[in-house]
Amino acid sequence: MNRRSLMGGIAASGLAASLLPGLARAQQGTAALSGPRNPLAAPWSAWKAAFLDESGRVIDKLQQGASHSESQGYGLLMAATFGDAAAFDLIHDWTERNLAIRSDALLAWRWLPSGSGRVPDRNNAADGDLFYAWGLVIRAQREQRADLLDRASAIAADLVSTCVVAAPDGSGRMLLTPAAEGFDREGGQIINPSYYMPLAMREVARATGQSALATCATDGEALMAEIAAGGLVPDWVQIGPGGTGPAEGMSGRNGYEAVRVPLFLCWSGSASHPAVARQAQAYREAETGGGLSLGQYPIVMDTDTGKVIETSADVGYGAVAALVQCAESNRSGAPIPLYRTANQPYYPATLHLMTLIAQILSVPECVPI
Amino acid sequence: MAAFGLGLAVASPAFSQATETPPPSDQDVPIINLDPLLQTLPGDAPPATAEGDGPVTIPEYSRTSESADPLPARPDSFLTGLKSERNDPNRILRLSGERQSATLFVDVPAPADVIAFVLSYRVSINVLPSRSELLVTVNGTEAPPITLSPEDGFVAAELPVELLREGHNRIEITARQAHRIFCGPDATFAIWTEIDLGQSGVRIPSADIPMDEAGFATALNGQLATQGNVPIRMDPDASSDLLHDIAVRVSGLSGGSAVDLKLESPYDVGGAAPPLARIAILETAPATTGVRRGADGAAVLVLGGPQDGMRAELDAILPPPEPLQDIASLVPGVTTSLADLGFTDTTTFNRYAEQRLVFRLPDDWLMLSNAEALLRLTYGFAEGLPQGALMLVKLNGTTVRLLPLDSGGGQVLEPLDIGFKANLLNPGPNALEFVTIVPGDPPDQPCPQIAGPLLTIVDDSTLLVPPTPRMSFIGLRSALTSLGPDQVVPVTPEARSPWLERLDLAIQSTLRPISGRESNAGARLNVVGADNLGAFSFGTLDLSRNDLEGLFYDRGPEVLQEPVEDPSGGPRYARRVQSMVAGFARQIGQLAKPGDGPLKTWIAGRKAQAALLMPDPEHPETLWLIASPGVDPALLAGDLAAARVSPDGPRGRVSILTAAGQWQNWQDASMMPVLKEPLTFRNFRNVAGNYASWSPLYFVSVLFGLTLLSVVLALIFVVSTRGRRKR
Repeated sequence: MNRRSLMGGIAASGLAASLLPGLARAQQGTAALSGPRNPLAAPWSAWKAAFLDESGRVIDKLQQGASHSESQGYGLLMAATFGDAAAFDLIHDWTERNLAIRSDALLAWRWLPSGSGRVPDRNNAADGDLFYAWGLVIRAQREQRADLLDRASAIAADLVSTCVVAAPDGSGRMLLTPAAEGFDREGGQIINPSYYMPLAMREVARATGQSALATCATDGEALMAEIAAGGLVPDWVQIGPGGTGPAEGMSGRNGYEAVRVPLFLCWSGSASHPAVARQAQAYREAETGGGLSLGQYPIVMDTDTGKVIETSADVGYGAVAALVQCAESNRSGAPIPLYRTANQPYYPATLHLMTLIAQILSVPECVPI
Repeated sequence: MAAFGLGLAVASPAFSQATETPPPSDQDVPIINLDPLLQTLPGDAPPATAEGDGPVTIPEYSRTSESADPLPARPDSFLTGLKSERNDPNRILRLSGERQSATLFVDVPAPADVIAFVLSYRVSINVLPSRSELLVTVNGTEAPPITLSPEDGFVAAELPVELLREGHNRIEITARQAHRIFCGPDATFAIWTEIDLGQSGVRIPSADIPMDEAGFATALNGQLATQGNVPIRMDPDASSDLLHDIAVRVSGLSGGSAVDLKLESPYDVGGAAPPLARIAILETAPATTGVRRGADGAAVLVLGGPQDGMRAELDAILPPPEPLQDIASLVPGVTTSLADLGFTDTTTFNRYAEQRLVFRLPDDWLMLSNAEALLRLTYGFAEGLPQGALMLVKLNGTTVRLLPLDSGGGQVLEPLDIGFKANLLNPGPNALEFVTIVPGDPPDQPCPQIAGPLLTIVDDSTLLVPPTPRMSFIGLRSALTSLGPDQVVPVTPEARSPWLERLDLAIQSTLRPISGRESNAGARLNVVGADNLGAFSFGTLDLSRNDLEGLFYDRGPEVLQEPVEDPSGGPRYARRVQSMVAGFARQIGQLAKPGDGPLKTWIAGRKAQAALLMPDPEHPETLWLIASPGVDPALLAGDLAAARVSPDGPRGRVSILTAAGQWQNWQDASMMPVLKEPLTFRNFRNVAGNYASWSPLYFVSVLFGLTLLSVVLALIFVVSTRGRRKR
């Protein structure tokens, strides 16, 4: 650890201790989730049975049966959170063997089950790297595993050096780019707001000394607050010298990507964030507008009007919507659907489980009713 | 996208001029010097193109999915079910015989919401359609009769919705039935119509249930009718004193039936059919009570906050039920009419009929001697009943008079005095029954149509029971009738299986106080499963764990404890003498100890689904219920609740519930009657009579002792006064 990272680590620790009550609460709750009375034991078992194969690969059938650093990172984080050493080791081993093939410490973003080039290219995905590192940190701290912490530190360092860039709008903010390549366009830097997971960024920063991640988290929250002032947070945005706008050729709707923004904010203890309030309002209006039938959940919405463009029957999206509305309100209890994997693919099922984790750790009053 | 861009550029200056607005949390964030990082970023970033040989892709995903398997769908509408007067957890109501009636109830939120009014029934194959019909009256207005025609399975008949009114509706149903071929008591049993109470009632659109108190009550009724349980969603590690309170209230809503509360975690994995209603208890939440719609569409009663506050809120949504109406009480020594005892089943049209009156005698009324009670019976029967027609008058299952009905009919007869031994009666509930048997004439043809009843018991008939001194045996009944829901105690609460938890709650749900009965703060009912007999306290019961296991589990033949003698060996007369001596000893033993013999012997070979025991007669208020694993909680709780006011319920010190739902009782011979008033000259004769009847040998021994004492005293007197007389 050099002087720069040490100073950053001290600063990040200070952040964690004094400014982030959600962080402390989450750390206490994680202990409950990793104990023998883990209330999410049954959903976690169902998730593993549905999506984790015996080799340690987390399978996303909708992506041609691919596995990717996001699914591996999500899986590792949940295995660490639930104290499931066996699942952790499986996922970790597979990921290290198949995705840790870049020249740096980051992970290649995608692995395909067929074809000669199973990893077609070695670009990374920042959110996959972040969650993977977070999972390593959690287990490393619980079991005093220096090897895991070293690996997390290497990822965090390369994530900072590769994907944390200065905003081109002159704001002085740090941006988390979605990948090492492909998002630095002529008109500016494209970012995916849902790749910001403030709690993960701060915990990794605190554990590894990469304080830039914590700074980036704070800057990201501020950026999303500004975006939310004008409407729903979109899936992708471009930040150029002239300010922030839509990313050309990419979804500017509030959809499958942006659904994670309010979830991660709630999980991070920022339920009062304007983006959560905006999303909650949109969900509420969609439900009371009468256009939705029971079991249909809004998943793609217009960022300006909140008009529902696409619905989904996958209950995981309903779980996010229920948690977000509850967290933003003063009510107790949330109509979060019971967990299931039988009817929903990897992505909504994973968000569903994350919603339950976030509820227990960060919004305990929003117990599913 | 255009709108988004416009929103960014015009409507949201803060969004486009980020540098002018500091992040909200910046003021709280310690300053970190990022200059070194900013200077090194471009140079430190590895050349991206160096990573792969092919074209670089960016992480993008196709997230849109069509769920392969449809979710378990909530039905568009549901039936509320019908409630019966008997609060039977069994949802099938059977009307058997030539004519039988039943009263049912249904609650309707608003007639405008009702899609249909349905009666689901099926008919015995023996029923003759041309002479069989179902007569239905709704709130006193007749609906068109339904012709009863045997078909496969249940048939749903639609009744006029217009007959319903908002709120409570009373439905009288009478089945008039004739046998296709035969006539007589057997034919009466063979003709029946069954009504499926769960598949009957009013059909209401699921989506139209308002999320308020009335809507929740409607949904809850539908839930009980269609799924037979009420899910309770709460933290499985939390304990809530509210649960037994909720159980009683829900039971009250469903007419007092045992309720199966299904505890579930908020974090269970879903997959079952969605419920219409459930209750969610939020242990740590601020005060929150109200009805909300769950994610699955269920009407959810959310209870949160301090429990006292919740109870107050709960009163508006699930008010506590009224005390259970007790059966009528008969005051000993007072001539009482059957009408005053609540006898309403006065007429019968059936060739086999049981008309039953259940009444209560005081708990400290005890008659063991041969004193007589008197039934002054006024009755009449149809003229021309076939030879062999008769009526049996029964007290607690024992026939006390057989009355012929084959001559002198067509009129109400003069009152008939029927004396019977009062010791047939028990403290607590008793049953007076009139069993009518009218053969077919001829038996191999359908019965002729009759205009009037075959038999009528006039309800001004009277019953007189002699008073007794206040005496009683220690037994199960006293504690059982005084139990309240909060007195059901889970044994080893840390190791309760979900089934035992459901059983606890089902029992609690039925333990409403009985009107006019005093509660006993010390009463307790410990509930254990037969698979956890290690938790059972045997007290002074002469039983082993092995004996109890034999009651609940099938086992191989018992190993004989006594040696078996070879019948071919030994002198024949010796065996005969041995047998006679043993028989004499048994008789003497019975005279001395008139109970049911040793408990070990009594229980051996019996099978039960549950047993109620009093391990320690020093603490008669502490009872134990042992339940066979897997027994239906609602059915067992229903049997236990019914036993509280039934003459066929538990008595003595041990009672077992057979698979057929009958209680068999064991009376401990060592427990003598207890006199609960001072022994006086007036009550001496009756008290002595009771003790003499209870244990003749004991009584004779006492008398013999007294006689000896008298003789000794007389001798002392004679000897001590002899000298004086001689003087």
